[in-house]
Amino acid sequence: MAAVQSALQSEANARSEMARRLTDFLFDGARLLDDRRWAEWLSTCTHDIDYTVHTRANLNLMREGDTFDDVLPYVKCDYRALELRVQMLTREWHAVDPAPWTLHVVSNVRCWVDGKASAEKERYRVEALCIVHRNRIGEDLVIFPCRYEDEIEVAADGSMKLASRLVIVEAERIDGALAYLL
Amino acid sequence: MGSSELSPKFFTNRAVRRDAYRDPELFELERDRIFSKVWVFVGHMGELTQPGDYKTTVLNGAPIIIWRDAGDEVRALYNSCTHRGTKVTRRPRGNEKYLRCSYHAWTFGRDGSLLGVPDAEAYDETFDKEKLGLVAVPRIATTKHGLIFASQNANVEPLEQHLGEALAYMDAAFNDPTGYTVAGYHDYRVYGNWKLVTENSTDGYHVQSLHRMNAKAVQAQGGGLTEQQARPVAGERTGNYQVGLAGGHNLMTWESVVTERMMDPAAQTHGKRRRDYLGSIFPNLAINTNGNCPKVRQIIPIDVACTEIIQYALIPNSYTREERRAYLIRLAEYSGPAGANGVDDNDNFPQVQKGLRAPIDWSDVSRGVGKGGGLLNDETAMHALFEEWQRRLFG
Repeated sequence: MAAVQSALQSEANARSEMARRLTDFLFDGARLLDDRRWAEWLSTCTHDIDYTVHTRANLNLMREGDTFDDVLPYVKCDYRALELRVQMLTREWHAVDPAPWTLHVVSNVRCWVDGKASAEKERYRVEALCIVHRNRIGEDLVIFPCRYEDEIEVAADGSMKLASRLVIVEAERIDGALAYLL
Repeated sequence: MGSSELSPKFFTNRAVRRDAYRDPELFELERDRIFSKVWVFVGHMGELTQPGDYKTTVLNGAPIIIWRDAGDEVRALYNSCTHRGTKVTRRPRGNEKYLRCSYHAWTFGRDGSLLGVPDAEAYDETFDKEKLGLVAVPRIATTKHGLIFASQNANVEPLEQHLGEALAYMDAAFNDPTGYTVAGYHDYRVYGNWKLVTENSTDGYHVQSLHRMNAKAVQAQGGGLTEQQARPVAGERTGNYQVGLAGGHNLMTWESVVTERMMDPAAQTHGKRRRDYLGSIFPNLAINTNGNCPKVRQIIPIDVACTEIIQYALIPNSYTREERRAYLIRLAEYSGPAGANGVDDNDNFPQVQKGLRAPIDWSDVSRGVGKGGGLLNDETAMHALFEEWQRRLFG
């Protein structure tokens, strides 16, 4: 009995530790985005990443049988597209000269740590809120209230990568120029 | 600038007076002399596919409902309860047999008629429900492409007359015989005057500079214009050209090698040519097939320095589900507040508006003047917008 209780406790501790590490992964990613370390942030993504931004207003247009892919996104990137977007953010967009400042405030993180995708890699579902504050010289502060619905891949060595991110902007509009990553 | 100081000369064939973009009094004059008088784009039939479907939008600052009844007639009604003014619906769209005002529960049918009033016995014999239906916008009309226009002017000319020669370009741009469904919207505000958005439709001159990032990407993918432009022959509309049309419409058309994805160099389609159309229908409709994505933009002036743009994703009904999904990705990559082109333009409009605060009277729009005009990077097509604008405001 004691051995069973001990095993259960160990399992609970492991899940708790995994949830903590997944949460830290979100915080680390937010910091990379705010520091405009785009290439580093991209290196934390899997090569089959799906990065999508929707507004709640557009998701409300979904009909029966539709998936998120059937609704007009504001951003829809695979790895190649993210790579090109990162290049544009880093170099030649007028929209990033001067560069905007952002603050990604990540909160309300929830981790589902029971699922396993394969023996080598595990993918965990993680949800969070992210309130993105965006400011720029000569412009007013803009705030985007976002939900993250993420899938994070954890390798056998414990390293983590973002395998998918659905950003739902809980709003009707996205004003201005989205020359950064939510 | 006081109205007594307004000069009737706001546009020559080389320059436009900057007050046109920054004077709040002129903005109000536009409401009175343009937006209340002409046909204004308000929606697409692809949003009203079933009897009872409705959408809400804004016409010259006024909230309206576009509502399809059981007999397929489409009406434009002011979204204002005839009792005390409350919007009878706050939703962007829906499907209803009736709408009930939240304030006192007055109920209106799809034809706008007042169906019911709670505690009606409190009204005397002069109370006439038949005269208290939702007020109809005087005119509504739809093109064969499904574009819905409304006018506050009961005496406005027929829509086809207003569209004039632009109709042929619209026919070419929206030529899928199976029609279109609206698959979503990019809805955003830019902090610039609405005419900055409208004139931008035929400003090919800015592509290589403002859009230099994605111009390079397109060229690297093997895309771009199929031929170097020779100056169009006066009076001939062939090849790649821009044109200003009677009525204030301004349009460009060109042939290019298509790129299937803006953001994926591997997804190019070598050698596949297509002809694209981009321009504006006076005063508030932008049409655009760029990026292999037919779309329209409803340009809604909010105030002199703020414009809301609603981009409609128009998916041909002939598309398979996979083609539809590919279209949606292309549209997101090209346009809207996060698109490779959209980011540039949306970031630039407020910079123009701020620069226009300087006490400088005129903006130069003379590119192509004296040279024949008509090249994609000339500025002669947008003259049609300024001429019509000036004519309607000042005669």
